[in-house]
Amino acid sequence: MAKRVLVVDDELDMRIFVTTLLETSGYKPLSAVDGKEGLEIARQKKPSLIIMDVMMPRESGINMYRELKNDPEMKNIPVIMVSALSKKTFFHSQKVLDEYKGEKISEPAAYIEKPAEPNELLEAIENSLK
Amino acid sequence: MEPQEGLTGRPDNSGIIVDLGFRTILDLLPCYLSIQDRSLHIVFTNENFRKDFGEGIGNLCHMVYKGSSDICESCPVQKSFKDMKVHISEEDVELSSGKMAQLIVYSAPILDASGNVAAVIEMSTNITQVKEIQKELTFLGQSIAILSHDMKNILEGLQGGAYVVDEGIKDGDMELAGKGWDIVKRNIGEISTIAQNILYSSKKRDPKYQKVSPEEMVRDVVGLFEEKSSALGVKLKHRSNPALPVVNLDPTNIRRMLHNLVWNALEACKKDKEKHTHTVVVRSDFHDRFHFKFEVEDNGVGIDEDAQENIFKEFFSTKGSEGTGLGLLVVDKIVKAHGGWVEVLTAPGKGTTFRVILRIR
Repeated sequence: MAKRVLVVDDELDMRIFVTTLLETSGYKPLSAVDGKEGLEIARQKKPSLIIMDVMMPRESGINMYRELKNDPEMKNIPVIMVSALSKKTFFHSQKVLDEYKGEKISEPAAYIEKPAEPNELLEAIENSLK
Repeated sequence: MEPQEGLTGRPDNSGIIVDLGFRTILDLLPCYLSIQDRSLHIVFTNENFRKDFGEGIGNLCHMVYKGSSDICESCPVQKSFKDMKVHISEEDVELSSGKMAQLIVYSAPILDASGNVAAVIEMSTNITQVKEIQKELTFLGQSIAILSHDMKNILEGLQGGAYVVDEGIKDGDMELAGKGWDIVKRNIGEISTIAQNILYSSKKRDPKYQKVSPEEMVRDVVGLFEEKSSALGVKLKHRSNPALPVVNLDPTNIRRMLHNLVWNALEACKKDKEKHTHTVVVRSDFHDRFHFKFEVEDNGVGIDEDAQENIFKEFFSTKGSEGTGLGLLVVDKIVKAHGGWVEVLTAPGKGTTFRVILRIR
């Protein structure tokens, strides 16, 4: 059966792009528009991989990522972050939050800066699902 | 800094300085000089001071500098009285011409023979221009950061859209190709909006007035957004008071201004996940006998209090990954150039109305 991959992005364009990429590469895409909906779907459908944006309204990707990684049932789902935010800024924010909350959250399986090349994204997807 | 010695030194005995005399030298100094006593009354001023603040002698310094009956919060003069040291502060003042200016103020104690502070001399320089340049530089830095972020998102949209078109063509799936093409077109639209706003905000231009009907302006702009609004599932309506006369406006600029407001309203609806139906209404109507108004009302996310204070600052944006925040700055500039003003009525979670009020002329 095709592996389920959850795409979380508030931008419709990005959701269409990534779900098309997934469909044509033999995966079963699911999509959500923000962190809150993303978490709900992730809990229900237990996808094999989550591809998510960082900056989203309502619940940001930063929060969603930490909630995923703090949930014993979901923490092993690999996550690929795709964002216009630079990798350095994202990792710095994670470090600051780790220190502030006194926890250590593991790094995402991949971090891709927008604009993401289809091939680059596909490679990251395949690597994370190995 | 060490306490300064009182001004008891003797003038140099050689050259023109002596001929000019101390008073003339003080008058010639290209800065404001005043001396205040312990009760903050001005006892001495130089020519430059008098030119911009009036006579001043015998009056309270905060009255003269700021027109305020309260002592300035960061009063450097009082500090110098207290600790006999030099103090520096930045103050906003009002010149007697009514213009506001930013000063950098140095205060230094004047000691009497027994070493007590008899008075404090205040020397200030007008740094309004420096401050403006500083603001522009900050603006430039921020704008480049936000623009590059925006560009990445648009590039992503273009690249992603092109990919979807390719896949559609490859599989002979025209519906998919059409979806991709919509993405490409949308992102071309975004980039052209950004480009036009940058162009507008980077140039100073006076409005080119023409006689136009406000209703026509509203209809033009609403027409431009039909596609975007239906793609977002937002109802876009316009209501104009037919009794409104033809007025003098710069139509290009007013269209740009309305364009930005409608764009924002649609984005605010798009961000709102709480309500089932979204509506944006664009109106033109009388405001009072001498003014008319444009209104853009949405029932989107609304603007929270913190953000309200910042919305007209350069590049302020709550849109996160979308929007440069340049839009409202351009709105503000255009409305001000027309001698009008903008009012914002908003409730977080409920929606926002931007009201632009212009004179009927």
